[in-house]
Amino acid sequence: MRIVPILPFAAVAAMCCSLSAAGHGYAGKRFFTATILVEDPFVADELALPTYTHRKGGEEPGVTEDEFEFEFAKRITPLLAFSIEGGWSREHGGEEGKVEGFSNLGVGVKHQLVLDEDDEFVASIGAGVELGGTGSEHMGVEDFNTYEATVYVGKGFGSAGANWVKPFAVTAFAGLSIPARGKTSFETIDPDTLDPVTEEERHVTHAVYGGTLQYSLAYLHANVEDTGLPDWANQITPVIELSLDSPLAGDERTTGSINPGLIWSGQGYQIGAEAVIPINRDSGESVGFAVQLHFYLDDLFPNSLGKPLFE
Amino acid sequence: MNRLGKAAALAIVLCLAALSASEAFAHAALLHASPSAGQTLSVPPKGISIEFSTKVDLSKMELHVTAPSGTELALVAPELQTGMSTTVIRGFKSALAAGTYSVRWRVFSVDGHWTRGDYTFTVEG
Repeated sequence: MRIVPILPFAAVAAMCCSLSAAGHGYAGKRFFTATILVEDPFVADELALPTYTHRKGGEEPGVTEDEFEFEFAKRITPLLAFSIEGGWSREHGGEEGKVEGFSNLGVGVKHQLVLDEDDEFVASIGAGVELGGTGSEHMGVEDFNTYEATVYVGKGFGSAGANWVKPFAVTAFAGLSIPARGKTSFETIDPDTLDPVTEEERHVTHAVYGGTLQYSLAYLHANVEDTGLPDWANQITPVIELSLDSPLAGDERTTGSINPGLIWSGQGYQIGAEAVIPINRDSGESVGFAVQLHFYLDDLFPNSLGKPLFE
Repeated sequence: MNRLGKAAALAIVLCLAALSASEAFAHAALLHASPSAGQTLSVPPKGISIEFSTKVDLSKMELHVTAPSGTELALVAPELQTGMSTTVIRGFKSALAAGTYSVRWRVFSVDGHWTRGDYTFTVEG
């Protein structure tokens, strides 16, 4: 489960830079689409509901997983947002047959530090916590908190010299995921001697990182060259997402996925569909897919839910 | 598609249907422009029009067209171009010479957000 930024950043808030009322995902002419796998580099009032992911072998060999997730983000000030996310999944094909239940809830805050409209650049920092024990115990969720601190950046290439480069944009994130508990001890039975033994499971800090490459047909149409595509096609953003998770200790391997897909941005919402390609066997056994319906609350409810609590 | 998939598809369809009533609120994105981005015209245009995805406040709207020499062109607003509209129309006070012109716009839409953009078009000699 991706952990959403959390924890107060009162001290950092004082560092805030200027932000005009440009709304979700805009840095000057650039609109950064909200991506499915990688957290966006800006703050916004938004709701991702649902995000449906189908994959095989990610949690455990032979297990197929169908997961429904949500994420809700609400701006407290124009530059500071609170978020909450969670999910429900069904797993089948494993030794335990079909199991289903909730994942742990995640809460967080994200603060937008920089918005440079001319350079189409945005940067944010966030902190979050996965709340241990809030999910279904039989799903194997952790019963302790996991904290995360992350930096997010986004950059559009509208000022590039070559026209073909201008519709491109990238986003990236990097952070640490730190478990509140270093190890968990549990009793088990030695299969050879049938004696009770105590085993330990270590919980290590992980580096989480990745990014997206986006090609905005809307940017191409409006700012570079009208290619004559129909309006609906000009609202498509082909995107490739990458998200990786590397343990900083122990012998586990880096896991993650590469997600190529398309995101169609409408007025007030967007729809995305991506393939989920595991980067190695530890990340999954076959190509899965993810689809998401994402609402821009500042478009839909500009005078209530879609505006900051404190201007 | 299993039951979960069908439920997800149904939820998405219902959400989109509910959203159809909210189309009036949104950021103003450029839908069509004449001259359009990157266009090359053999006949000089008499004016410029830009259609947006939602209504914009014409009193707050900014539209600048810069000639190849770097001077900004004087624009004329038709009488009906007041209040809120999805289309911004301006005429050129004088005929355009050959060269590449820059268009820069910034609009305030009904949802209370600014959006902006710029592009170039070329008039052939």
